[in-house]
Amino acid sequence: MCNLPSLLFRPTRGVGSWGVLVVVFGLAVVPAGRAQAPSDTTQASSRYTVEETGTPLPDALDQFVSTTGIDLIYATKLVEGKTTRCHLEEALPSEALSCLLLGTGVMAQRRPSGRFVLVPRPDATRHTLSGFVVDAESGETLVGANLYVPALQRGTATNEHGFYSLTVPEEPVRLVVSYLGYEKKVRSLTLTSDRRLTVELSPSAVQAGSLKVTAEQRPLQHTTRTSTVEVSAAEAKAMPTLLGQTDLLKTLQRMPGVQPGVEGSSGLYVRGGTPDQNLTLLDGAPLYNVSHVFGFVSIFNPDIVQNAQLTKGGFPARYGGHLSSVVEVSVEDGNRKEFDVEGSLGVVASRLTVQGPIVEDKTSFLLSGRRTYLDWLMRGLSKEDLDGGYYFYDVNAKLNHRFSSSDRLFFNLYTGDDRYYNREDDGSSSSSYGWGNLTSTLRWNHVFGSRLFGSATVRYSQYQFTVKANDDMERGTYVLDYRSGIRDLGLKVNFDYDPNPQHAVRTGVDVTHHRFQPGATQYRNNSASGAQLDTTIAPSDPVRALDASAYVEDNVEWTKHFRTNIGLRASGFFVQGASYLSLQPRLSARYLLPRNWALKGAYAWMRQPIHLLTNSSVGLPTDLWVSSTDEVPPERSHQVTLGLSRSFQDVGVDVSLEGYGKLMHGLIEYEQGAAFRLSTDAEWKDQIETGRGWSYGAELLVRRTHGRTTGWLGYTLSWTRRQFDALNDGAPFPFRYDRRHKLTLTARHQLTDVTSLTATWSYRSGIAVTLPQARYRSPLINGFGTRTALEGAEDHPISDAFFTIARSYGERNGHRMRPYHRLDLGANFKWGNAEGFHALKTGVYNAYNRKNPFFLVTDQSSNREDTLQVRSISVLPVVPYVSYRFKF
Amino acid sequence: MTQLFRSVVFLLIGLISLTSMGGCDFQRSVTINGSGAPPKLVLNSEIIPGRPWRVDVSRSVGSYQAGNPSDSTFTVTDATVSILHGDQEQSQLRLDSLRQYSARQFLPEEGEQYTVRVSAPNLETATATDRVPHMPPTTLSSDLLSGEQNQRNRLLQFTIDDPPGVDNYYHIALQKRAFVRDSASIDTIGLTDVYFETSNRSIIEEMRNLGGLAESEFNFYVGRSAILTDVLFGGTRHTVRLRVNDQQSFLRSDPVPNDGFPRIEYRLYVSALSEDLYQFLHTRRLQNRTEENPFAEPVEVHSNVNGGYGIVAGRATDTLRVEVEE
Repeated sequence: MCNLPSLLFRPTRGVGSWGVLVVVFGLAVVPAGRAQAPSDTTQASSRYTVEETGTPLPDALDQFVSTTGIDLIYATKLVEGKTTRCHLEEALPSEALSCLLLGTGVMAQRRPSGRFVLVPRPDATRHTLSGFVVDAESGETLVGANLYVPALQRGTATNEHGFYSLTVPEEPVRLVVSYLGYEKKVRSLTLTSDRRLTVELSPSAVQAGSLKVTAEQRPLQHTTRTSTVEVSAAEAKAMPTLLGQTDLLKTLQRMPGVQPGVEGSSGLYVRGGTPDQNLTLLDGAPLYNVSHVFGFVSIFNPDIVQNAQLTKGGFPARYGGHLSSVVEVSVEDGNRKEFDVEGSLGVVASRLTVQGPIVEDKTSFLLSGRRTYLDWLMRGLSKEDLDGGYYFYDVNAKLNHRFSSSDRLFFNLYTGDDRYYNREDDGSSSSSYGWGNLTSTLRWNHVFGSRLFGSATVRYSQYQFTVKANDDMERGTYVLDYRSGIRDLGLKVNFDYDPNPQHAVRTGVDVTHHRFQPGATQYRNNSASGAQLDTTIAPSDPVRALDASAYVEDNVEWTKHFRTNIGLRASGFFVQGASYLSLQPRLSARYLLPRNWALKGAYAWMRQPIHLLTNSSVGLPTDLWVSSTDEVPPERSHQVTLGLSRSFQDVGVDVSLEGYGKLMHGLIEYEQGAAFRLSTDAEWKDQIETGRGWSYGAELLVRRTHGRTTGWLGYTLSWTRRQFDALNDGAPFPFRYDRRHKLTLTARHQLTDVTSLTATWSYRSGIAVTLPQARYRSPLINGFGTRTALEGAEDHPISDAFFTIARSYGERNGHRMRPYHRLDLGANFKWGNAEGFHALKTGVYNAYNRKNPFFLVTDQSSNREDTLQVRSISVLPVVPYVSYRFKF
Repeated sequence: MTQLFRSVVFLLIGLISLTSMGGCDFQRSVTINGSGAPPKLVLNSEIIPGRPWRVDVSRSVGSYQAGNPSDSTFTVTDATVSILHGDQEQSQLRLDSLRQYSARQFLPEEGEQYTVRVSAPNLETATATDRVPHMPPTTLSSDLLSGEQNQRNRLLQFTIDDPPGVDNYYHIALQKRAFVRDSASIDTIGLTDVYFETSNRSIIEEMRNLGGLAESEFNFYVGRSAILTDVLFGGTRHTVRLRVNDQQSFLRSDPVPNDGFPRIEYRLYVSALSEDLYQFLHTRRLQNRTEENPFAEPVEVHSNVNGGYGIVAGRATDTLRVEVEE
């Protein structure tokens, strides 16, 4: 082999070896004057890997000829002084040659003699391939499917509407289309004009029960996106879970950079942020409450979710309004070809989904519901006449219609509620607490041409918490009606424009009208004596605000090695006479290093004009969404990331290592002791403190996405601090979820056609809590300022008072709970055929019964030594689960 | 398929066994490294115009050490306690029979600033400085309300001329005593605390998070005392309306009309507080309310003692009386 340190041809492992290499090498006959590269006539040819860059083209061609034995003729002058920059894996010889010649101004032509001649490349003619990637069985669009042309090392992914646009030269190319959980599809095509192509992918055999491999992902090193992870619904369903409830958010919690809240909750604390700093989008519509059961079950029904994508940093300009992350959940559109019924029976809740065509291939619907039966069970098991309980439900409905290949209309509705209620048998009194979301979107997608895609969305979104109580008393009736919430009405228009292969432009505007109602109580008391009180307590009117933004971003390919996504988001938030305008620059860049490693960096300036006031560590409905005002400015953050990533496609492993730093301003918290109250929360501005925070750390993700054994290892090393003038004497203190280490190991092994085994092990450092460090004498203040019964006595000065004990706390969050670790095991059985399946999911949560601390209690010791003792309370021991799913 | 279900049954049996081994022991003690913070001086005193000086001096104890700092074993009896007026030392206090440090040589005055400095062997010297506030003019009046017997039937109106230009802090507490008709000065039950109800915005804003009664949820406050600031009425004349029940707390042994305690004297104790004292009262109530709640952020009680704990704070007081007859 020639000594060419920067260029290496070798057959790809597992395909063949040099000694026995048989190259089937067919080239298309190229008409004179047409610029066309050689092409393969078979997909069974041997594969080559071309590595390294900057090699002189003559040397590379020599190496190529000696390796492949191909008869290649060229003029020395034509290639002199030129270098090749080619990275290619598993390429056919023709692709390897095309790749070598890319960017050199030279092309290969095959002559009738079978010889290949290199000639100057005329000005390249390019055409655009565009269309949708859809599920072959249901016709539903697939969001985030990858399209990749290996020879060009160029690819794209379908947007959130399943649309793609890819511009390629007018020469034979091999297009690889893939999507997690689906069979890869390879198509060879030569474009002679712009072309619309809908690519249908079939669900991978693993899903249906066999052992064929799933599709490969688009290599990490080929995108500029950083800090982004994706979880498919299939992955989430396979994971062992608490009570068998599949939960997308809890699957995302297992990713590096994401800290869970307290055990069992589905809150995401991303890179030192709080759950309200996550922009959660359900088919593009924002959600303000993403969980049921006080944060323990996410609202996303796994039966209808396609996938969830979490972006932790390097935010493109299209995203805004929240500081820490974007969680995009895509829901199925509804089967356009046949009817499906899918359901699940679980210990806590059951689900049922029906979908199918209304007009085949044109109009389809999806209707899905889920409900707990805790209240029914409690009533059934109770020996007393219990008329009360708790339940949650959610309903998803979707309707979509295809007017033409260019126009589609979607209507999407989600509504879900949690409700706790209690009624007296005689109806004399009742009370109920309810909270939930209603969100609805109407979206029109239009393909303007092969390079321009547009969508317009009108959306309505609402979150409301209500308390209702009434009591019939002897002296009259009493009625309480409390409401707090947020209501949005918005319009969003987006355009995706791919003018040429070097640019992919996205632009759009987003206007949202918010109506905040931080709290209003109506209290009516009808006294039997005739005195009546009818009071609506809302010290200020609901706050109305307009949030408008426009963005533009351009994915630019500067060279084969260097790509950027440059963007700018301009936004304005207008509330109560105050205006907050900002220009938020965004930048992501990727540089391709030797050996196919990508160096990626990003910067993002984010701004968040709405806040969540919370004084609990669990997602209570009493948390209030409030607006920025003239006194409370929006939260802001700057985040930088830098990392290395690479996909090892031959073994199906993605590796990503990232460091990040984030600075946050304008964070708000309740002041000391302030808390939710029914009556006066419209004055929340007077109860908060504003401060800042910062977080930095490193994250490692090694993930295998296809093969018989899949899973990932995720590790996070991080530090997060907060600083408020009025807290901790103004000194920085650790954030509650400042966990130094977090390690997650997740594995799934397909044992047989029917059976798969899953296991996850999680470790994370203990969360930070504040504990007392000293006790001291302090006056009892109950009788402060009053006198004793003795006539003439003076009122008590403090020194005369009875004394009790006060506690002095040390550094806020200065103590750590015990580390958390847990093993979950599961076994999944799935059998069926193309018409449907049955699936049984069983396993155990917290398999070795680790007593992980949920909270700490500090109280007086029972040993009569008057010392304090701290007790750790655990809530979730080993918990088995079983759930059943079906589809027909 | 039979094999499949057999596997599932075996698995479930295994899971149930694991659960039964797990038990229900959800609590465990946590070992805290160290005993807590080292001991410091604790000073508790008020500086009230015209009243003798009296300072309670004790020492703190680490949270996880044995001992009750409210009992006498933690009183520091070998301290040197000095009072400074400005930079000038005015007096040294002596340990008295109550095991507190006191002096009568000179008395605090309104508007003046004083410093208490305490040193003791093996403990860091502690100092606390505060200014005695001025007591503004106040009045109290009474009106009878129509209503049911069991409801609050009297309105007490307390008016305060809030001094302009400074932030002012107040404390009010209500008591009463009752007299038999025609009895000039002798009552049989002594002073009792009185629950009052008020819709005063300043009080509601202040007390809503400090453990007021449940009625505070419905925009009125019920309590025996309250603290408030002048944020909503700074520099103006402000009236606070307190609704009370004349019969509250009186045990009427004889239900015969016109008997019982038909003559009642209400006493409203009004204090002008220094900011430190206000902060202490505010945070002390907060800590009482939150320390048993594991989900609440702990509250640090305000202290103006440098090098130690406790409160040494200025207060001016006034007692307003109004007499009513049934």
